[in-house]
Amino acid sequence: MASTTEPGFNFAYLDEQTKRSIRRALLKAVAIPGHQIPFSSREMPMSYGWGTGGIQVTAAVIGKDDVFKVIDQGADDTTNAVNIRRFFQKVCGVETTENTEAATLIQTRHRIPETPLQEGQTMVYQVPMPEPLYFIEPSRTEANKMHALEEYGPMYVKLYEDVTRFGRISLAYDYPVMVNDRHLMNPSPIPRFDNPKLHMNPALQLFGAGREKRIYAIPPYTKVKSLDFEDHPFSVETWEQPCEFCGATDSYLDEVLIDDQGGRMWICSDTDYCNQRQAAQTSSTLNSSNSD
Amino acid sequence: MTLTRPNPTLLPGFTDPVHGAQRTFRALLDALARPGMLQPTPALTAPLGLTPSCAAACLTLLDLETQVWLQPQMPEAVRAWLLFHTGCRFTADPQMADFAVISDVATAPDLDQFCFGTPEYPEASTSLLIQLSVLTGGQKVTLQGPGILEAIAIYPPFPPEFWTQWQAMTTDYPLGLDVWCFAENQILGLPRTSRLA
Repeated sequence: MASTTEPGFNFAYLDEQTKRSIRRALLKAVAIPGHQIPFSSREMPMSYGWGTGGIQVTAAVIGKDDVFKVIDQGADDTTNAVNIRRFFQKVCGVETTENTEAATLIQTRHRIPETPLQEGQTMVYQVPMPEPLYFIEPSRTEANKMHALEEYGPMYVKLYEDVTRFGRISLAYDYPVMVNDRHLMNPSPIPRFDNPKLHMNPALQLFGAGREKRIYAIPPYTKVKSLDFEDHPFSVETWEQPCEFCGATDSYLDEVLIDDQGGRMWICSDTDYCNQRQAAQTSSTLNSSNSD
Repeated sequence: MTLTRPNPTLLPGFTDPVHGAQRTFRALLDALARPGMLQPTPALTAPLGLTPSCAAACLTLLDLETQVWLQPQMPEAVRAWLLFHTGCRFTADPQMADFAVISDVATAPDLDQFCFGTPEYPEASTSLLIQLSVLTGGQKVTLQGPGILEAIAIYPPFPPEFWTQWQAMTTDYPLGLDVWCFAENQILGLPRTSRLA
């Protein structure tokens, strides 16, 4: 699959000086899990908000032996995923895949694959807002002080306000977590459903926020706890129906409108997981019909 | 190692600067992400006074934006080689250093002589690059923390005082130092999150 790279560009697009500064930030980020490291975010050939932070992290990390996968809300075949995959194919000539198990480097927008990650894999998250305290304290200087003093009470107050208003914590995505019992962190807008996968994950998880110019990380096997209250424990979304394509009951489902009569269906958001399950089912039906 | 080496500035850096730096970076990254697990680095002709893995790390991490503290007994060749290949700046004050290159732990300053960062910016700390002849054979030390599934035993040949200072340092988390140990073509990472069990 490896193709020749686009002439006129350095490997992975960024110049070596920029890569070095991003790499130094990444190393500090891994050493202080969940703590945001400022970095000199560059302009990339796409606008802020389309994953420039994730792309810069990927460009600093990727090597020619990597097998690269990109997902956008779990799907390998949506615009953002296809564009970013093609970009790195062009500027690195790396092998790409849609198979979660085959990938060594996975850039993601807002999902963690359903297939459990393994040791040696690296996840790169695209982050729009890295600062969990932003909606409580818009000043970064003040927010930094709050992190330094571990002053996270106001975040619990915000969650408590949810409980008083709705009877539960109503955050559906970007649900704040405590990393290594010390740093409050935004896990990027992954659904709450994915939060438990952050905890003690064997893969290295890197987060890049391009517009906000911050990098942070969760090393493998690190404690990650979603904030909650004893009487309102953290819980994930559940669905009453299985995926209509593959019948999965353990995956995150997307609601899809199918007509203008209010018709809708629920399907896996992780396309690779769904396709693999469908393929397995087809082959097993084929096998059983052959044996008849 | 031979003593008759050419002018250090004439020694090449990576055979392939882009991919050599990328592979070394991944080794440095994995070393911190999985403390205690040895990571290999690409081959490199290092100047006298630097191990190949430490030289590779220097080429990967240092540039004109970084301040480097060299242990005073390091040969002049090291300074010349680093200056030629990276353009880094040097400082005599350990507190000012972004990176400190140490070739003899026994005579190096205490850990608290280096910069631990500030409460708001714990990342503004010194990273130590410690060269050892081997990465095993020392006193057994068991580490716990992020990147370690339960506990991991390591045997770097550090004097006991180092571990006493390390233990004192880890109580200041998130302030602290991150350490890479180098021998030949291998790296051992010791991030500030690694506590003695």
